[in-house]
Amino acid sequence: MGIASLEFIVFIFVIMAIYYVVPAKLKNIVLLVAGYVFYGSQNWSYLLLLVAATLFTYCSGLLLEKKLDNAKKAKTIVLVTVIANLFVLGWFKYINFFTGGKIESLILPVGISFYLFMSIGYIIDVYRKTVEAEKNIIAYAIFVSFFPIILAGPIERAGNMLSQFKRTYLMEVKFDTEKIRDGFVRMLWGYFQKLVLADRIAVVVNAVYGSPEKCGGAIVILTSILYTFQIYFDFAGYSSIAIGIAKVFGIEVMENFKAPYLATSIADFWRRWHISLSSWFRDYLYIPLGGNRKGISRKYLNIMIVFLLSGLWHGAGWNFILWGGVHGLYQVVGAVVQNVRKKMCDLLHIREESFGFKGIKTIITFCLVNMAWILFRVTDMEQLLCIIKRFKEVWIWELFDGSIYNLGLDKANVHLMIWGIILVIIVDILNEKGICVSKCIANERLWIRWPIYWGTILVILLCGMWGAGFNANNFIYYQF
Amino acid sequence: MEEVLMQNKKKKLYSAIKIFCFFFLLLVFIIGAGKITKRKESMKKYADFVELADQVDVLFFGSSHVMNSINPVQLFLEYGITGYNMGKSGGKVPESYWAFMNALDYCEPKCVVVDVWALDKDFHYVDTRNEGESATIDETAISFLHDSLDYLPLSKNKIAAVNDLIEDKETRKEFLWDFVLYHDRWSSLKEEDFRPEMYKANSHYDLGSFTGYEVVPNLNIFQVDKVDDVLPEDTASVQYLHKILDECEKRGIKAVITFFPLSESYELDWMATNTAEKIAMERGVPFLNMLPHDSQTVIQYKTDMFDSIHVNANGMRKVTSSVGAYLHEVLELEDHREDPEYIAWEEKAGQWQSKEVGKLLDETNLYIKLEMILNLNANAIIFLRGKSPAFQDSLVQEFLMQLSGTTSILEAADCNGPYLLVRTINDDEVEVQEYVGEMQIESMETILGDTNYIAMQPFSAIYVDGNQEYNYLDMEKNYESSVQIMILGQEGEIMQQFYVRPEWNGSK
Repeated sequence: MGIASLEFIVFIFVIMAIYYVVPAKLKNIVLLVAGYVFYGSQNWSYLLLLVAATLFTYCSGLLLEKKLDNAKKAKTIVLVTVIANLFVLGWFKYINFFTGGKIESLILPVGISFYLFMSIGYIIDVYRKTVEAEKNIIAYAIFVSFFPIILAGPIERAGNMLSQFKRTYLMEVKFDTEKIRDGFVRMLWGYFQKLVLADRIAVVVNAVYGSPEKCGGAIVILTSILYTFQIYFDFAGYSSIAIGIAKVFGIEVMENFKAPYLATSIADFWRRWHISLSSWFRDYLYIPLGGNRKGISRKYLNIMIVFLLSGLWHGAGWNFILWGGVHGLYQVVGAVVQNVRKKMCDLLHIREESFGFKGIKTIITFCLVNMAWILFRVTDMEQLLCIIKRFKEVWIWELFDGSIYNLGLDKANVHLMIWGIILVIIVDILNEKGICVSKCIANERLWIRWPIYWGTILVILLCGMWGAGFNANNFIYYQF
Repeated sequence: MEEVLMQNKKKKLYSAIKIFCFFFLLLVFIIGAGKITKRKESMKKYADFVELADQVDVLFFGSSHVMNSINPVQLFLEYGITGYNMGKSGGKVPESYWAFMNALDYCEPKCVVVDVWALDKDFHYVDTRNEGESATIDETAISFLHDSLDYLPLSKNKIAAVNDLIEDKETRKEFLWDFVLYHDRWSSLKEEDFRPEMYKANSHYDLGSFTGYEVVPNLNIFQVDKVDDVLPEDTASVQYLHKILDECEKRGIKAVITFFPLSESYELDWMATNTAEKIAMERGVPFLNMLPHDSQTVIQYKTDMFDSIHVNANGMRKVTSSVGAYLHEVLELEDHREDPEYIAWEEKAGQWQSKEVGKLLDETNLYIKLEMILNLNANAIIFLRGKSPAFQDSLVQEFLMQLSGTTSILEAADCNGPYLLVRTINDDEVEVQEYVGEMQIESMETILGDTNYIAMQPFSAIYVDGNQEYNYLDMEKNYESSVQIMILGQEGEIMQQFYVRPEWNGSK
């Protein structure tokens, strides 16, 4: 059951009905069962792994709390738990990569990177005493298996979530039509980003990256920009769906994206992009490594370590590590030249807060991020070199000679894609200015509000890339 | 306190009504969007069936062979039998069974005709075939199944058909709610998608049949020698044939098994027909076998095939006439032509005839033009000028022999013409006047009136009613034309003068 499938929508409505109908004290059971059913529907055998990971960290947490007075024992428990979780992650995700293909990886259990990171975060929080070890196993099991976020995050924190999964909290969750509506609207926005935009852009991106040698430089550059949007819409779309579903069940999940392409620096970008992961690395890796407290050189080293590992987290491949490394390098170089940049601004009387300067910084950041995404998307060095080679042969007019309509999308689809991207940019700018579009719509009168909701649903249903996928060529009438 | 409770109750009721209205209207919009984006091919083919189902006496099931071989409009015009062509592209017997079962939800036919092409196929799923066939074929097969199932609303039989014919569970969904598939059509919608009345107007189906007009100039005719073997085992197709016959028996429906003509046939086809013959004998049902090359006299491969395995309009007319005669004479299906309750069938026939006349007038290919004149029994004058290359064209010769019912064209070919054929239909009787070689005839009676015909190799003329100012044969602008054809109306009025361009060289 994929998150963009009809079954999942039906599942949500069924669980929601049960959740709000059953006695309040059973709400936690409903969430737990829903989580296990949803995860089990991906692959029932990996449900066992999830349960085992849950029990292991739960017990570790309890044990750790008892031994907190004994620093050595506590440290050992934390280390064993973290290493065990990382070992499981490594076994499933990286064994093939680290052994150079000598050992075949098992099929990667979906969401494993997310729930194991949440478990690791929990045990460290218990060690740091920022949260108490959870005594209620059901609350803890829901925390690990909460179905909206288990597949692709956000990587939530125990401090934020555990209290919401306690029976006493859930008993207070009422059928609040406004909250539920807001949740559904957020889900719609996520589905729009994922199904209408990301999956549509993917058609062009896959076509070009599939055979870059057949495309001109301008098309390859355009595609790299499109990929930059694709990965954003895909991931942010999923996060919005997850946040929206959680809201429908009265649970608040942290924001994961905040208009990342409006960032004015790479550091700013990482404060806006996959916030739950970058903050996880900051809290559980960068700070324990010493952060910026141990001198400039160590700070830069820490940044590089964090970003290389962040790259590795995204996938078991050199391109991901390279991608992380490039982002680390961007940050280090940015920090090194920061003073020079400031002096230059003073010298040229440029106001750093001016709109124009911010705009230029945003564009430069976007370009840097965009270039790094190419590393993220390529499958091998050969493809990367081919793409770089294409950059030398840029003929701008090929963007307007209809070539773009031969990349898997017809004219109407290309126009929809472009207008969709513009719409998301506008919404991001408004959000940046503190204007929440969904709230504005919610405050409108019914005869304005409802058609907007209906229209959005219909656009997603009609134009979303879901279902079997109609290919007119298969339906050309063959009499014979 | 009570007031607050009341207010809360009211608020909850108001919310419930609002939620209901929102989702109800949303559902209406989604259903509407589904109707608009739905591919209309299936509706085009079956819309008339749904409309006329309660008057249908005979249903034809099978593959594209059936679609191309049986014209229910002609069946009605010739015998007054009301039938519908349920054939589907690539349709094998299991699909015929389910098409039959679903059709029974709409009608109670008196007779069912089942074609048993591909009786050797031992699978009932259309999406997963025998090994070795490519994925493309699967997708095509799925699309064909959409053509035959999309018109049906969700029903017990439709669900059973989908479950039995489609193995992949994901693919099943697109049959049970086709919006899953067709929502993608949003970018290619046409006017007819928004206007239901246009489905039928733009349909290329005639009571479910599909007419192929092409003629294959160098058709490969290949028939293996007869073999006596039957299929080695009960294939899935054989089992489903039995299921159809069982259902017919249960409901008192007469069944007929057929095997329609192929210009290329192989051992397997013989084995299939032998098996069908055996089953027909055992079950006491007739088997109309049109496969054998030597003994089948229904069609002439050379002029009647669209391609090696499908008959064209000419072949369709002949097969329909043959099957119709059997249904009328042996199975005694009723003639509804005089029945006022069947006026809708008269209307459909009228629409078909005017559509066909339009196609005849629009046609520019000589072979197809001749085929259509033959097919529509149109009044026509056909003139081949002296030394026309058409004399040496075997297909033209064949068509003219069929049009005239004589071999005079061969004599004309020997002397290099000219040749004139005046073909008139009077009360369904064909009247033929043929003139071969150079000659001068005065005052002969033709459909045009009192006609003088001058035939010389370099110059020919047709003058009517003594008016020598107007030559019905164009000897000026179209002097070089190889063939001149005049299509005439009922009263002899000229509907079209058609000239074959001088450089025409037929099938060469």
